[in-house]
Amino acid sequence: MAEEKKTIFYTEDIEMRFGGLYALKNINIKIYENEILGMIGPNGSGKTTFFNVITGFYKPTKGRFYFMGEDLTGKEPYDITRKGISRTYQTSRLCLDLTILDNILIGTYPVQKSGYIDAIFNRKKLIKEIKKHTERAVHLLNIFNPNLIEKLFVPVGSLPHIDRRRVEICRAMIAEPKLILLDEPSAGMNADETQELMDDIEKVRKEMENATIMIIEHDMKVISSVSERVIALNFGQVIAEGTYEEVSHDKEVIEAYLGKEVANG
Amino acid sequence: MKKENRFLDYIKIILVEVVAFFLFLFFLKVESIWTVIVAILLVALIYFLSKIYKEKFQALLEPFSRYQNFAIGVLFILLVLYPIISPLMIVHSTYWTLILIQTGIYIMIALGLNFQLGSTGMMNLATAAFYGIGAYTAGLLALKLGWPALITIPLAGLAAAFAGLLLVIPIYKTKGHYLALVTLAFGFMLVLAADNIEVIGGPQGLKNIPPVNIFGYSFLNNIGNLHFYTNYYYLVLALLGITILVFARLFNSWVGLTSAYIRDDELAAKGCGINTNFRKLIVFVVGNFFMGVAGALYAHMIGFISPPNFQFAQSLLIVAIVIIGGMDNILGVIVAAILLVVFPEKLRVITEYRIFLYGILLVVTLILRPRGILPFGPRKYDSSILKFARKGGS
Amino acid sequence: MTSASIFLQIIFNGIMLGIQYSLIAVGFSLFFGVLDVINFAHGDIFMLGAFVSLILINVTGMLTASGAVYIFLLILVIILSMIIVGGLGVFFERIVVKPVSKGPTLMSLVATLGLGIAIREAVRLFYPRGSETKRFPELLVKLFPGKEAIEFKGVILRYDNLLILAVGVIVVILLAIYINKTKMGLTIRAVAQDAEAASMMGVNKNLIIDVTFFIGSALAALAGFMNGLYYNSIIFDMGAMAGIVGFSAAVIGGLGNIYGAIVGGFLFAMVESLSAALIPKGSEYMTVIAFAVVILFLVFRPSGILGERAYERV
Repeated sequence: MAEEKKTIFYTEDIEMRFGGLYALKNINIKIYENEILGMIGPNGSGKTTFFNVITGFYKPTKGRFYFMGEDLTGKEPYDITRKGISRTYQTSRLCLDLTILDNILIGTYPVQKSGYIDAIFNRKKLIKEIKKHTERAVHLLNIFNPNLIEKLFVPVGSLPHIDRRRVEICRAMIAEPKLILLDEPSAGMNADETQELMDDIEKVRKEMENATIMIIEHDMKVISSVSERVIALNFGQVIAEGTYEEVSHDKEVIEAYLGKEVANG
Repeated sequence: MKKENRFLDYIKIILVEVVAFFLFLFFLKVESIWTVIVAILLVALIYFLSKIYKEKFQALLEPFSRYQNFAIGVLFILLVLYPIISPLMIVHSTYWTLILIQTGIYIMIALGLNFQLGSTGMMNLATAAFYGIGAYTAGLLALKLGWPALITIPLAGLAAAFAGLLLVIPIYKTKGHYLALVTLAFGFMLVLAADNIEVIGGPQGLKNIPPVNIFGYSFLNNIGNLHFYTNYYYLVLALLGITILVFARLFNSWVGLTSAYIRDDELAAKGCGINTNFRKLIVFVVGNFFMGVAGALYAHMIGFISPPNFQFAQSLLIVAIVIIGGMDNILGVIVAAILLVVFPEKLRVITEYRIFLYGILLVVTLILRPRGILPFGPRKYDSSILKFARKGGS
Repeated sequence: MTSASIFLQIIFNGIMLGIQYSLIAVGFSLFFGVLDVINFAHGDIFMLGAFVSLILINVTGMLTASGAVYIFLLILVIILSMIIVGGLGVFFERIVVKPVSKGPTLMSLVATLGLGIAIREAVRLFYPRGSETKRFPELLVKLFPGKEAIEFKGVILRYDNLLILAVGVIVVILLAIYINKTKMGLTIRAVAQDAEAASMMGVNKNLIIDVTFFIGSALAALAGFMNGLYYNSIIFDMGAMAGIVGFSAAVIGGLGNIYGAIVGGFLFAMVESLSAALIPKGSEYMTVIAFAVVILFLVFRPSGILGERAYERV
């Protein structure tokens, strides 16, 4: 009944220290192939810092992490992306003045082959490549919101919040990564938008059957509905791990969110 | 039916461009500052009319975007005809031809800076210094070694590119404002060096730089009745055309896209797999190449260069052209260059106030219209991609 | 002159320049810390300080007075020029610097560059015979008739230079007290280190910005006065180089760090002073050499001697 789950990512005693402050300590986390892993924790518990460390934006002060058997510790963000890990950001880092197409196409940069020479002298090759990726971008947009297709050349800044998030998710998906990290995708959304977002995450899962997803969230509705497994952080350390049922009833987790009195009943 | 419409569009394009062309000639011809005032009023009038009669204006401009290549072709023909027509209309036509050539050279430098600053967000306050390196390289190679222009011009570009590489490598990993400081300091240091090194002429500069000579044809020859500057006019026109083509193609490609991402959100760019440090280095070097080429053209044409030609004031002018014209917009840069180089020539009265006005203009532009007069439009890559998207991706 | 006295002279010159550069550099650090902006017009504020104090010297008829009245007028001129230029600094901040600070840092750099140029050219165009060098009078010689300067271990110390030294030391001490002991000063320092955290604690950001610009500009004005006194001449474009030097000094010390700015200012001045004395044709190349040192710093220690501000948020 219990299948042998393949570990595609794991960390070894990751520590992230800023001056005297320990943002992460003794982090030992595994990510299994094809799962949707959720990460929760109160503000400042280190969730985004964890993403920043494993995507290379911060170099951990101690510890290592491995992806698909390879040690990625100390590598730059662009190297890590090229290995097959892509992410979204809490503040949805899109270039608002650029078009939807631009913001999605950039996601395929790791796999594109044309350079300066082709741009100037071999347009045919360049256009062929862009056309291929544009088709893929359209395919993805079709899944989330077909209305966006006619707006391919419209600046992203003119879109509502939920559509911007969708563009960002398409950007993360288009290079067909093996691991997608979603950082609080529901940030700034109302109840309706959050519902749409949960559907969107389902669509991501369906579209990318072989991918693994890890999602940081504050909204428990989202976590409970999409995650198969949940890890809880507090003060930079893992305090609970298991299904949402198990973790949400864990005493330490309740204490972290609501305080000691409520936890002790 | 369709064929007639196309023909009609072609006529529209030709009419608009020819009218604009003769208006411009007229503007140059009449020797009074009223021409500038009239020109500004005319532009303001057109601007307001375009807001009121939106559809009519759109209809007028539509053929230009649909038959872009034809419009550019017509423009090119008009530019080729200019040196032949202008002496018939303008008394001091040679002087204005020289001004236009100088404008073309500045456009080339500004396009180089636009690639660095407008497309990629890299500040370069030493454009005049790199322009100067190109000029001195070409000047010295031609004067001391007798090398022909066909060799000195590309070498000048490479010299400026290499100098940029040396300057930027130590600090390219640091933040943008450090690059501003280093280029600023470098600009001053270079002028100081040029003033003090006797081998390259010192404060007197280099004199008697040989003119361009292509397979025996010296550019000092007059073309029939036309002054020999006309030779340089066509050379600059051709090279500028190539420069514009190169940068337009780079804009509509991965290069333009990654540069824009580096400019607007460098962290997100890294997260998308872009090695931002390396890309910035290449952009800086490529941009500098064109500045060097422009310098070489200037050196050969005027025959005399000296340190005061390449001071901070010139760098400032180039920066103003890019920022006021519109970042990452080739057309904007061209318009701003004409505005900031040709117009002041008409306003002899205000020559004293020119630098003062540049400063004010920079401040006002950045407060009121930070993306410039003509901010960049959507990246279309290619008309086939645009059509593909218009059909809903089918 | 003995080598000891040459050495002392070098040190003394370095201190003279260091005080001036530091005063300008502090402004750069403050503006960057509080508003995230590189204010390239700051060098021209320094120039305004020199010109305003010259105007005040003439307007008050100070040079015809003597004794206690003279001293009173001198102090008045210094303080008044600091206040006036401080006010001008706030004025420029309101109309130019703050509006452009909302965009990318590079844009504020260019905008303030344009502002500086406008100020510089305005002086050249509208001050009577503005493009010429103006003579700045010696000020303390009047009080000590008969003697030109003091001699100390072979070093010539002009009275005016001693004044610069004294005022400089007093102002630096006052500044240190201000940013360490007063509520406003501590707030400025907090905002300069981490503006986001400070605003979350309910600080009136606009007031802080105004005060910061006032102080920074006043200090630069004082440096301008000192510079005029040191060289006995001022000219409309003296602010261009001073601004670049001040910015470099602030960068060496770590942008946003006030102590760093002071350290950077003295470091830059010492390198210049040593170069001018020890290297042939040194006085022409001294600034170049100092810049080379700055570039070396940027390569090996980009966040400055005492460190630039916090991590960038991802």
